[in-house]
Amino acid sequence: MSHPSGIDALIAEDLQLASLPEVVIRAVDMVNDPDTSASDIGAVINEDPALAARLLKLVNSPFFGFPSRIETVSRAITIVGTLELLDLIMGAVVVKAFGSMPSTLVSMNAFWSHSLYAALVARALAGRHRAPKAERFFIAGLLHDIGSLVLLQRRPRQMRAALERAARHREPTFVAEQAVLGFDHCAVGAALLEAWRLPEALVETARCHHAPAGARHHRLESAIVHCADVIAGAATACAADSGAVPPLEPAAWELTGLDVAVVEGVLAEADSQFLAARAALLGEPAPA
Amino acid sequence: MTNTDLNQVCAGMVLAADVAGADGNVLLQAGTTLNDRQLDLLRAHGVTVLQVTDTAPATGDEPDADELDRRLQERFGLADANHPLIRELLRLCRQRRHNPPGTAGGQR
Repeated sequence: MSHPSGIDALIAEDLQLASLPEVVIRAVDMVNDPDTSASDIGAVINEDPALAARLLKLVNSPFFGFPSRIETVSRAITIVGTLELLDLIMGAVVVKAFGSMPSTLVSMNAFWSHSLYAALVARALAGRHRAPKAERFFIAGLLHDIGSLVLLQRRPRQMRAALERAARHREPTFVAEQAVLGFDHCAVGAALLEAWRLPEALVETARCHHAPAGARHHRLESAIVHCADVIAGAATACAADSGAVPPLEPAAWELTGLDVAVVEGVLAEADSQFLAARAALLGEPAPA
Repeated sequence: MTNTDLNQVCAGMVLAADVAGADGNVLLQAGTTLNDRQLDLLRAHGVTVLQVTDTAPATGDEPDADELDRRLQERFGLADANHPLIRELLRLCRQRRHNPPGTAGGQR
């Protein structure tokens, strides 16, 4: 797919610093292949001892709360399930890849807190929609704003101008980005995830999370992540890119088929998981 | 009064000291009750720490309900307040405004 000028250069810069480990790319391919078994995937993950160790640390964190310690990757896959585990691996790898890069505009903590809250809300909404494999919405929510991170780190001067413009004109950040840069964090995120060869659903939800009507193949995913972004923006007072709640596309909420009465329970669910999930993903000490 | 990370600062907190940008110019003066747009602008100017008091000063009381509501409406300024989801989110935000998760006030 061709991108507006500037995005390709931006992505090339980031690929050098934040490329996904080969093992993760292979594991993603294997999960998409119906002929591979959980133990095949476990064997691939075990080829990268650091990744295997990180994975075991995650599944033994309070986020999962299993009563006994999980000692091996294959046991983790059996208990947690391949897809959910892969989501966690990707999440942890992506957070780690970006984690050490300083940004003066937004702290990593604030950025990932918003993304993680949106991820928890997306998964909770998908569960209530009775979408199959609701856990795949978690990673879609976690990565939806990844383009903002690239822009904040790689184009801080233009992003400062975009944030100022958004505040001055009272417009959404992505609109200000388009005016200042010629493209927005949605396009950048999609291009990065595409370059990382991640599943098309993740690419499309990143591209369409502010304009879900534009989704062609993954309309439900895009609609749910869009709504999750709005809900997370409202629920977390200090959202990552802006204090403002992004605009809602009404058709996206209709597509979920959910009644607004579910939102209170969705927030309660996200609240109850948030601190443990943040500790697991960001590698902080677990909350007491 | 200690330095507070900007990301731990929320709208409604009051500046305990002037905040200067990288160029040394004062951006906001002590006593300012911060709103979300000002927080965005501080972020945009590269400010990472500032000194705040936890609640609004003046009377020493919590800002009144009208003021809190005005701030909430401002955060929701880009959203269609007539949509049922937005109405519900506004209602829930009013409920939980004193203890939002993911902020300093929300951590156990």
